[in-house]
Amino acid sequence: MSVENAPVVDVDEAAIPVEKKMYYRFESNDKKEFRVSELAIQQSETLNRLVEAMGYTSEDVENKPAIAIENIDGKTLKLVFQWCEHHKGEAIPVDDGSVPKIVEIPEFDAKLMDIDNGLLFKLIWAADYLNIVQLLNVSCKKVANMAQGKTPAQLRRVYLLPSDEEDEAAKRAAQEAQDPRAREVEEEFEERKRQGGNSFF
Amino acid sequence: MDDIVVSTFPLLNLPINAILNTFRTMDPVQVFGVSILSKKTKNLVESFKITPEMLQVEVAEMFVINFILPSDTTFYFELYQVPENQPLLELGTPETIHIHCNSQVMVWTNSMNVKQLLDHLRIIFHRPIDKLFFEENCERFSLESIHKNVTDVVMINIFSGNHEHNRRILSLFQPAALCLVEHALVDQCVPRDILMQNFDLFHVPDVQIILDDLLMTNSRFILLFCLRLSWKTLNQFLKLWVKGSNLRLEYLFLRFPDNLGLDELFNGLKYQDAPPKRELLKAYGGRDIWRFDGTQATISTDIRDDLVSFRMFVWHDHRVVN
Repeated sequence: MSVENAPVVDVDEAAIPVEKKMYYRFESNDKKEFRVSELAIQQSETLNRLVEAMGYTSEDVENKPAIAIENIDGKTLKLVFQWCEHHKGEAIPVDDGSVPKIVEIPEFDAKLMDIDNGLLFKLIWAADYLNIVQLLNVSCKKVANMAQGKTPAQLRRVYLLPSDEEDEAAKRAAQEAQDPRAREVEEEFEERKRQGGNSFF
Repeated sequence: MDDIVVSTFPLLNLPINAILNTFRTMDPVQVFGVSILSKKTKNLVESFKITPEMLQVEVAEMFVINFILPSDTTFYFELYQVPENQPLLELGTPETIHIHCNSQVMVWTNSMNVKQLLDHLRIIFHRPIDKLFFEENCERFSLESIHKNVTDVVMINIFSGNHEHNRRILSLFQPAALCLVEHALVDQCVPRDILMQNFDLFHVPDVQIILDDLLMTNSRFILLFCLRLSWKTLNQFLKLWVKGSNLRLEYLFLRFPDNLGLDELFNGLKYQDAPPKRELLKAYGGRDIWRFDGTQATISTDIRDDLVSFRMFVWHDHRVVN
């Protein structure tokens, strides 16, 4: 995608101080390009460190290839950068370790996260990978809200939580997949036990 | 009800930091709900070290497990309710648990007995049972079954006025720490056979106490909020301590209504001004006195809202070393 065609996610020009008015270009793993303000990038510890380390000038941003974010797709990255632009300049919350952790979901965030659970899942992975503290807080709160008023049986269904038996079966399947001979050996061992043999060898 | 559940979310496939974040923002009742679903989810919740400030069991006409959380969240489990004139109830496996979380009440079917449930809670929340309360009508539950099911208790708090039952509680549980409140007292006094027991911590709010009671108290840490107490009584107590009374005493805190009376308190006692600050037990300033065997104690007093706070720190060898 050319630089000219790269989407610029909702930017409030007036809110950006003049000296911070620099935009970086990022590319998702499906080759979608985004221009994001420097102030918005500060919401992401990962990206902020990255651009600091690169030390790009305005010319570099335009002339060099967009910074690739290889494990996030365009649809998810668009949400991430929309969130960062909306919350640019806001203080990054410091975790005081409290339980329950009180998190309010602002109206903008609620609308942004009015998405299917598949995309929400990707958004949380992206927020964690890019280390965007408050986006991780609100997106996890949305997942936590799915539990409200649910019984344990309903929680199992909502969060796809396997039972002990299912965990055991999955573990066995994983072991067998890792070593195809394991099942044969196990069956032979069982057969010998049935025949009354004390020793396998 | 199950039909309402339509969308699913693979919680355990999230990065670990996000799973923790989700559990921390979830209502504690749902955290508990997830923890009972499998060994894996129990271990997961346990690994996150979500800890309430206090875990309490309350026995009255109801049997309740109460969680004190740092926020204002109200969270408790009601396991049994025993109406009047019912036969003695043995704790077993309650069919349902009424879960109260803030203004919501949920009724969950249950398969764990009381001991399994308490053990589960102690493990996932990383706490012992901080307090076991015996309140009015607690005798509707079998004491033996409470003893069998409610283990690892730090402190017992007795509010009940059934003194014979209270004695059975102490004999059966032999608690390290005891708090007696209101009806558990006899004419606002602590029964002497209780005073004489060797508790590590003994606490009574609103008590009438005399010199003989103080001398008889055998506990290591004593906290008494006295309705009345005179400086003369305390002076006599200190003189007798110097001569060898209350050998186990390590810390005595008394609060009573009066004005400061240091002259009367130390009348006839040899003392020395204490160093302005000692790191141990927040002992700041005060006066040092010595027992006949050389054991040192620091006495400090202050007054706030017409209430005197009297603190006595006894510097046993192990306490000075630690």
